[in-house]
Amino acid sequence: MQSLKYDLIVVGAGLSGLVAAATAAEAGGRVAVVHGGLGTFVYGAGCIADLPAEGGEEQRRAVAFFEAMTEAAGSPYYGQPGDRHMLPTILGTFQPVSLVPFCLWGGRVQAGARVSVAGIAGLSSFDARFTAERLNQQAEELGLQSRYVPRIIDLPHEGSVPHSTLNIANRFDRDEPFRRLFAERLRAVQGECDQILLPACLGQQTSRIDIEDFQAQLGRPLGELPTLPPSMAGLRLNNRLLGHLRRRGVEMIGGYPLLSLDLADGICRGVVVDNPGRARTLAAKSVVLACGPQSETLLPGWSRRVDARQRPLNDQNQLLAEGIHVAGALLFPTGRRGGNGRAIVSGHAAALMAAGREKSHAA
Amino acid sequence: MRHSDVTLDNCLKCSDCNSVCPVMTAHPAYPGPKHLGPELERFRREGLPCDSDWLEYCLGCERCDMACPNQVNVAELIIEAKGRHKKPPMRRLRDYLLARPGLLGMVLSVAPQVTDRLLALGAMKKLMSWTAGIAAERSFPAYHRESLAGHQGHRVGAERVMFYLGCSMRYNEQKLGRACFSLLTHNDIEAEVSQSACCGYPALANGDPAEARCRVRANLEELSAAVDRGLPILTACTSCGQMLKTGFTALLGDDPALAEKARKVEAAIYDLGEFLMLRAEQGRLNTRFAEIRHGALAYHSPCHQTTQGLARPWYHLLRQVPGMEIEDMNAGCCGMAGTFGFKQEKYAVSMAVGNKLFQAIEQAAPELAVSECPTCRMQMTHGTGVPSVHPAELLLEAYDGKDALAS
Repeated sequence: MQSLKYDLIVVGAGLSGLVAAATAAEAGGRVAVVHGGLGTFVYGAGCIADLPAEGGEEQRRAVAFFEAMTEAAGSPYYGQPGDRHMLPTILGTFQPVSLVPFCLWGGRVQAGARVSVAGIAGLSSFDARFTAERLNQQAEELGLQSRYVPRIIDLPHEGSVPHSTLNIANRFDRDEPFRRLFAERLRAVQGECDQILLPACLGQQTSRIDIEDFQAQLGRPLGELPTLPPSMAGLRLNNRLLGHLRRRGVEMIGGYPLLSLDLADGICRGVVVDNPGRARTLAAKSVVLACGPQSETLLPGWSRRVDARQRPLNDQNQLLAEGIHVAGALLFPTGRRGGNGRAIVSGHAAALMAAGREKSHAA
Repeated sequence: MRHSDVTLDNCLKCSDCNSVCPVMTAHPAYPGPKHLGPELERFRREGLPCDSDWLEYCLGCERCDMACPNQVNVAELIIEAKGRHKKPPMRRLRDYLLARPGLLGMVLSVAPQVTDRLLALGAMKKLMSWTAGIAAERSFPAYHRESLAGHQGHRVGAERVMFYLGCSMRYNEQKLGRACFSLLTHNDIEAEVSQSACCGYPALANGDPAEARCRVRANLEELSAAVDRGLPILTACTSCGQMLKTGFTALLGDDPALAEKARKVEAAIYDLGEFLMLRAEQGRLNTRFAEIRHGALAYHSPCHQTTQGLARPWYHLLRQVPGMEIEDMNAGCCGMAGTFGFKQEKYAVSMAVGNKLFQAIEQAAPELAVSECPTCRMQMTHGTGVPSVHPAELLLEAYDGKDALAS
């Protein structure tokens, strides 16, 4: 009988944790992700803007892994580290992004493009006129050659339910005729445009294939604008990645915070979770901590420094404990341009290091 | 449910709870856990009117709790609001009965042949739908008179546990109960069958906290005496397990005389799969499995297994059996939610929630559907026509080399 002890427990279900879990699962390990709930990951859209073009071997490997992983999950990324694709936002600004989630890709600035900004009548969290007006101002200031025109469409209400991005997304997921009607309404108002922008609401489970089908009915590239939470762009990415991990055999143990690490004699042997009834100790050969800057308390005596293998050090620069690797925002608490790129690189590296594979993989 | 003293101020209105709610996904008018939980609680604390018929539509799957990044006990707040919710008389009467599966079981299993035939009659179904609001589309589970009791698998020197049956196993699925005892016997464990009745969860789910309190109070003494004798308490029903791990402190924890006992019992509750998995990790599980020859098996993990933080112990155990081809459907909540799916006015929502799971099962075209929860199994079979079993029956097959369905 194969061992039922986990090879790796990842703490935290943000981008870094999910990449670490996928990395370990890909190598055939028994992996669990322990988390205290959905993280800030789902509030964003998963844009990656903090990776330099010349990022070195570790970055190249991590990005290649991430691209393959998101492709397999049905939510691919486009672009390269170092790229500066200008993505419009609902506030009417432009954000430079290197690696772009597929559902935002169709909205990136293309010189000379005429862009329809589609609003949905009655959807309170998005105002197409405001966004288009601001985008035009900003485009002019930045010297971007694209023009934005607001277009408002009507979508049928279900009973007296007001529109929200979540309601529209849920309906998009379950109701095929609604999708077709949605596409028809968009087609009717798009006019002579080269691109369409839409508040992110095209389902919270949708894959690349679903959105490409939808786009094909419009005959032009379509880009979503991430909204305030609940933001469908981030939720969808999260849902696709969780589905992918589960298919790869990763166990998700969510909803309860970690009480502590199972530390004794300078070795970490697992984690202690605050489960109903009693605290449960989950045993693991290694632990990757990817649970954000607030979780420093799990590592009493940590100097905030790590060694070359991302293992936490104490004030005397000695190893705090064997079997722990740190990743994500816990490792880089202050991030410029977000920390998604560093989350991916450090999460991938931490899982390889935990398995002692960082060298062999590089070869 | 979490009982850490979490203030409402932890709710940032981020709507993570709404985004994972199965009812919101299937039924757009449902206002969602954020409103029915933390928002109504604010009104309630101010003494303002805050009742809503939508409270009855909460499935109790607790996915909102699992999603909340700030440990707000959303589902517990909804349960609290359900307890104060006012219903019209006919719904109140029906829910009074559905809150008491133990009482129903006791009455209906007196003359099971009569009961089963009566409940299966088309005219009876129509009558129950009109008068009592029981979904005519549903079939009641068959009732049996056999009563499981005493010491099962007694052997000198064997390790001993207490086995908590739950209403489904006590009145309908005695065969599953015997399978569980055999599994334990194969591992040299003697099961002492608990005489405790309903765990009280159906009462909470039907907005009857007084009845739930009666149930947990009645069960506390026997179970705590068992714990004092050093026995772990096992159950094979994931909703009973969730309730037994949380309900005693939730309902009795304010009484200083009982709080200690309540905590002690909760700490001794194990899902049977969790228990066997622990033994497997310690190298103490009997793994002399015969090869299994089955068609594909479609596995569904119940919400109340996830809420116990258990992951999928049975799924991993079954995958250790040679020849077992089992696939995890990972298609969310089944929508049955215990007694919820039996209610006529909720039937459509129940089926709409389950639709994703039905589609996944139909696509997998399995020989059997597999799940730990008795009402999830009912729903899977109702929605797809595929017969369903508890994973314990399959594991026993691996020990015995016999087909679970041949009885």
